[in-house]
Amino acid sequence: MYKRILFFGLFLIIISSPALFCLTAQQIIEKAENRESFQSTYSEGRIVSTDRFGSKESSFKSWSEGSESALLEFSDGQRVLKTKNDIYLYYPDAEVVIRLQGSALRQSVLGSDLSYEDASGFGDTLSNYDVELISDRLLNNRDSYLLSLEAKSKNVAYPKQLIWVDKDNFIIMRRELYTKSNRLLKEIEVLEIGSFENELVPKVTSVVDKLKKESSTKMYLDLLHLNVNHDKSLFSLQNLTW
Amino acid sequence: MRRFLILVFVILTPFSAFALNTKMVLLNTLMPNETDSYTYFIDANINLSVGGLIQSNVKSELSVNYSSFKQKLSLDKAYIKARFGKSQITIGKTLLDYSPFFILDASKVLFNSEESLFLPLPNRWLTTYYLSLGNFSFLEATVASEISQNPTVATRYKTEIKSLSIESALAYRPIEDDKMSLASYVGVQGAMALNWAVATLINISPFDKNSLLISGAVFKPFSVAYSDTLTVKFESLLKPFNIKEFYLNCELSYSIGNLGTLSLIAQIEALKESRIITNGTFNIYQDFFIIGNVIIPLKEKFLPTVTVGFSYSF
Repeated sequence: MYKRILFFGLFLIIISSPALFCLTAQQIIEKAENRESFQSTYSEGRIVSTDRFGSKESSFKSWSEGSESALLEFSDGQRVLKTKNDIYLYYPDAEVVIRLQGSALRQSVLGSDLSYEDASGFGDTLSNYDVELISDRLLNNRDSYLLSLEAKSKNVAYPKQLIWVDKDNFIIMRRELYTKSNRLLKEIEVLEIGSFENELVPKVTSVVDKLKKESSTKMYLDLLHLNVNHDKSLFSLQNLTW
Repeated sequence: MRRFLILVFVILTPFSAFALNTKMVLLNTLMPNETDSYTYFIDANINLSVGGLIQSNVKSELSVNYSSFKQKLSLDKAYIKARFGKSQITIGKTLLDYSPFFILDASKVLFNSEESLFLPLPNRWLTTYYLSLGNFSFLEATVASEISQNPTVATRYKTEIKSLSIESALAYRPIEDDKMSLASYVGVQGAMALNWAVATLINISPFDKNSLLISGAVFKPFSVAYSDTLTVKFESLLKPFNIKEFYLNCELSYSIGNLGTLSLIAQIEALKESRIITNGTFNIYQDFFIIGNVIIPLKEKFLPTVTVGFSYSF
């Protein structure tokens, strides 16, 4: 009798283990996005862009509330405000506010390899892409999930993506961004992970725009405060044009 | 020169702990003169801006211009701005433009003569009080003066309703022969399929129906390849009670990734002088830009004005 129960128990464990330990592509994306989304943040960092003429460093400060509101300020006074539906850019020289649309979103942030669209986040992946788990891969000697993303509509910047998600901490360690015809547009890779307020987040990230010659950008996160109480008027026209 | 240095010191001293941004522009121009030959001159501008970061509550900018054509050094901008919660005060010389993105918006006539609609509004000595009424709403009151004229007093209210940006203004300002007039302005901007703007202005005291102006603009950026953008912009301004007098501004701009932008612009002034303009801006080294433009007047002699120069920010 005991042998039967033991055998049945072992059988159950064996048949249920793939369901327990193998995550679907959707579950991996959900875990990765959940760990990236914080109620509110304040961060400071630097963008170092390098081209054939040399390197240029700009510092930035960023405030965010959920995934819908964000304000980004660069050391030269240029500011980007993201609201639920729009991205606004303020040019202090001309004192002009522009609502960014279409390919204008793909313009470079301060001449770096990063676009305004990249800087404002990659949005809700599962709403915008069909995802498929390709395989388990080693990336820099760490076990990772390799996933393929294909856009459901034309309303996304990158029709195809390959992403590597770390199996231990579910940080997206690498993205390769492609056109519909599989032309590689951009590579984004996390070079260093840091701990801020007991959360692991990318500390140094490399961005390479493959359409630019001899160009690369590194983003350094120097400070991150989580769950900060922001004044609701922070994400306003007054702050954008100040 | 000594007075100028004192002014620089007074304006910049309160911000010495803040980051300083500098921009230099140097333009060389060949302009046809009355004898059908060309005059060469240089325009140089240096702009210093201090403070103005979100976490600071003071901001200042100082901009000085030298023109070898006028042979004089002039103060282009010099202002100080401070904010206290939702309130903001600006004192000094700066831009007073309710619609800086558009060339032919009816609001330009509030602060400029109709004789020079295509020229950018000149910076003016002013005092402005700004009160934020919400994330996308504000009320603003301005007193702006010119040495030779009575001051202009203007109030503006701006808000957003869904995706529409709506603003209205009242301005009591000098018109010809030193007379004063109270003008009313209403403008609406939206973005449905394409970006558009409509605005109207009329003198309400003394009432003059012939002063009614209506402006309209549409523009749309189109993606070309992956990173290029073709932008089409069309602006018009007309007087419904003097239909022969109208202004058109048609622009076609092509941005080549981050390398630069080429533009072809037609500026048409019925009853006056029209012109074709080609502009080019090229980012050849980080914040170093080469700038060039050619202005061809559409009159008897098509003698172009040619400008080449650079801008550098650091």
